[in-house]
Amino acid sequence: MTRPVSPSQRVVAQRRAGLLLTSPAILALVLLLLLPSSAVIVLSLTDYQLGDRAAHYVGLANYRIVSLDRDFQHSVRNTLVFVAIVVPGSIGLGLFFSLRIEGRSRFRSLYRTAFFLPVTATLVAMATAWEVLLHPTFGLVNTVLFALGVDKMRFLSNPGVALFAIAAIGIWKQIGFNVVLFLAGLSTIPREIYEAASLDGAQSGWRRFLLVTWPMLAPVTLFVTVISTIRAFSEFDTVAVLTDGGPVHSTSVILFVLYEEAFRYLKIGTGSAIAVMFLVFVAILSLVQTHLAGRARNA
Amino acid sequence: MTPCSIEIDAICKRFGGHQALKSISLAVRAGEFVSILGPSGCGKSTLLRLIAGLDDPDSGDIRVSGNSMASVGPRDRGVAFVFQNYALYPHLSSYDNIAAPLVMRELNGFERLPGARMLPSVARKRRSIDDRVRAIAQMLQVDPWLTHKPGQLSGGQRQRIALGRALVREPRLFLLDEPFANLDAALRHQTRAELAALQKRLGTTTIFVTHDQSEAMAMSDRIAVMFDGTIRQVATPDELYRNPCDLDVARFLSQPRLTCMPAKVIVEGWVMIGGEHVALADANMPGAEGIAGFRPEHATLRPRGTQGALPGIVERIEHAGADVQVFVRLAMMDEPCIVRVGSQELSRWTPGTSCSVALDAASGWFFPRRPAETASTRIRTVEAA
Amino acid sequence: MRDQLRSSAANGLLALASLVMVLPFLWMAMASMAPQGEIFSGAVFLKPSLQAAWNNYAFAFSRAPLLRYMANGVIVCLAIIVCQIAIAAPAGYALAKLPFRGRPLVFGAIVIGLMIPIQVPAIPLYIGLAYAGLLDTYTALVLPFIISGFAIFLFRQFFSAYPDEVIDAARLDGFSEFAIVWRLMLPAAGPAVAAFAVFSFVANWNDLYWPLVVITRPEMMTPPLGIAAFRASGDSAGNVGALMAGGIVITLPLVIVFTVIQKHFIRGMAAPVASVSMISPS
Repeated sequence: MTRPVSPSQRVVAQRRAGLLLTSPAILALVLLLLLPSSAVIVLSLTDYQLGDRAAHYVGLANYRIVSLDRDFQHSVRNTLVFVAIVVPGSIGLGLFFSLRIEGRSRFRSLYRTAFFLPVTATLVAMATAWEVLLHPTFGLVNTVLFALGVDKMRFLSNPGVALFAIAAIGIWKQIGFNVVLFLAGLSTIPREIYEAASLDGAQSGWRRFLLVTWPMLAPVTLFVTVISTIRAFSEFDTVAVLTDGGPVHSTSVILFVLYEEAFRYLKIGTGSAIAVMFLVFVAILSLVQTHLAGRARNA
Repeated sequence: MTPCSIEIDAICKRFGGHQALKSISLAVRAGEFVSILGPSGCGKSTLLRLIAGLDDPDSGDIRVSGNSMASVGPRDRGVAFVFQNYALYPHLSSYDNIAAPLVMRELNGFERLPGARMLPSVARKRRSIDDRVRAIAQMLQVDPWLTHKPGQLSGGQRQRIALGRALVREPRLFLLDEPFANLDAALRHQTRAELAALQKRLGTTTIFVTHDQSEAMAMSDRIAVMFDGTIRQVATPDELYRNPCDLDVARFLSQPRLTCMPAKVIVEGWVMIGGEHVALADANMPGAEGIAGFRPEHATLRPRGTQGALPGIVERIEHAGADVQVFVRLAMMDEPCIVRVGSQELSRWTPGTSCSVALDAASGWFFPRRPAETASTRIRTVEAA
Repeated sequence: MRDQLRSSAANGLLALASLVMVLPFLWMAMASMAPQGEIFSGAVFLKPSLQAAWNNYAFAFSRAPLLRYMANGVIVCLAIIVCQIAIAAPAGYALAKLPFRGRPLVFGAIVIGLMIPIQVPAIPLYIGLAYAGLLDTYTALVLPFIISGFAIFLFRQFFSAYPDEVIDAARLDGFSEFAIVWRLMLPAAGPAVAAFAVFSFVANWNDLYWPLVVITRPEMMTPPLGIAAFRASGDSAGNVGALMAGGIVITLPLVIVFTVIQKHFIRGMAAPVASVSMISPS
């Protein structure tokens, strides 16, 4: 009867094209990302030093050294404090200000521009501006505080305060990004839903927020949370430029310790161990996000 | 390019669990204009895509001028395709849209670079392409829009550009997938006539997919009527109009609607419909039960009590230009039957009038009841085996 | 009445917050044009003077090769963008429109790649570049960033919406799959390409970590690394005005470009960013 047709020239050509067109991406992905990331795991289990021809397997020794190291413990604690301040701060303020901006017609784009400026600016340059603004005696911030009757503070040289100052700069940097994402999310909520909510008796703005805005923004909020957390966890620039981890390790964060260990002291083994721990944390965050995103969509 | 003949041989195609094409065979002669007519979802567009090589059949073969296309890619089949939504390149001007097939085929990657025009050989090729694009544009009268992008054109203008893109490389086979579906009625009639004339002039073998029977009737040399993945009938428009092979085909080709009535053949040439003896030449199997069908133009209204006519009551009247369609409620029928009446007779038939409907014995049809359930069961068992 | 009061209070807060947002920029601009004594006077408003501005900018340009940093930044960022698009566009098209074996595997690898920050593969990449003798080169600055999972994902999303019929028409017209990517897909993806290019440019222009790892020679430094070096070195000699001038020079181009195109950029970026948020394990 009818004879079955083997994969036609078209199908074969498309399969070949598919592989051909993705091959540069696959090659780069493997060589530049997957292979080095695997290599860092291997390195973390050895005593390799830059220039060595061979390396010895040392088991989890590097992890033991790192986890017992006071500086590393400090950096983990500092990072967690930093994240705990910056993430809720930038999300809460971002949501608050995006709601205020969304409701206005005048100056709307002006406000948006103002909030978005820090996102685009080179943090290294802005950090130097902040440094002068936070200057213990002449800085503008202290001038204002003094006028308000608050004692002048040594923001960046007081170990009890420096991390909070760095975190404030972190919020300043991140908030605009969150505002933009929240604004994008808010623009997708149809007006009719608010009108329906008003008719259903949600008269006050707060009621409407709880009834409509907050649930409808949930996916965006989730995404903003993950992005903010990963970014906060990856804090490096401000610390490297302004405090060099000090005073007395009070602002040294994980990536700063990783940088110092691996590239300033060239301790490859322990540096790799820190990199692996960093990867594990980021991977957990990403998995939690994909899991929650998948559940939110299936719900 | 010389027009080609096409043989479609027992083509089957399945999408997941859905059998889109069930062993389709069709032969198209060189230079012929064949329409594939059927309701949406019957598989006609799928068939067209298989002919173009955009999809592959699960089994069966397509031959163009005797050569199997199984191992020939879409670009080498010499096929031009006009899509329902025209599928123009949105970022290219009309000119570049029409030129694209020539540029992509006749210039290699190096010669397509903007600077390559400096070379005499490339300049010559570009000139030749330009001549052909301008000739086509002139023929289709799209010269004024050549610099416009598709987004700036109306539906009719876009459709012409799509035709130009298809015609410019002088295909040996021309495939059109509902090209008039997105045009308004007046434009559709005009374009239809132009396309038919153009096809006759060029002599390109053409397969035209449509769900609009009047379109198919007006343009085609032959029409293939498709239902549910099978071709029911292939015939000239005239033959198809006079002699549909089954009830589905007859229904699909009737405007606005075929009147269907349960009937039983008494003796050859006579059927019993709702207690009346009615003459019907097509009824030639005494004892058979089935459906008697007639078109609005194949019945006339008579006064109540006329012998051999079906009694009824005029329900409503619809004006359709020169003719008037009278909806008559017949006894024991679910749907009113439609009778076409000249407008001069209209004064005699007002809603509520008693009347009777006389069928034209020579034009009506009798379709014996087919064991439809057993037929589908059989197909299913074949597939299972 | 109470609502009105609360609303105007909130709006006042919004205005104040906006001021805090732009304060460092304003202050940086003013300080770059003010004499040293003025900056440390504790005054809220600095009095700019042409003479001081000239001094500060001239000092910054003479002590730090700012133009060289900027040129390096432009070269590196453009090279990265070109490579990213050249690699990501075909891959995005194949993942969106071509059925080929191993497609789910490739897509999975890209999603995983999307999750790995540069600091993780940095050590082996550094060792590799050191052995290849490529430290302190443009190659070292560009290479790790030529693969962007975000770009592939973005292009895949964008190309998925491209009508299949136009691609079919292109195949009949004689376009190869390669030509479809370059001549149809990429031009149609203009807004996405532009948004991604800006996104990528900003990210790479502002990056400090990787240049800090692979660059030590001043003439290879990118703007952030250059400013950090200028600040840390004795060259700035506590000259805050000059430091602010340097900061303005490397920040202003991006800020101006952004302010001009922010509407397009935000629209172009919000959609893909939102779509990335919808990645699910599949």
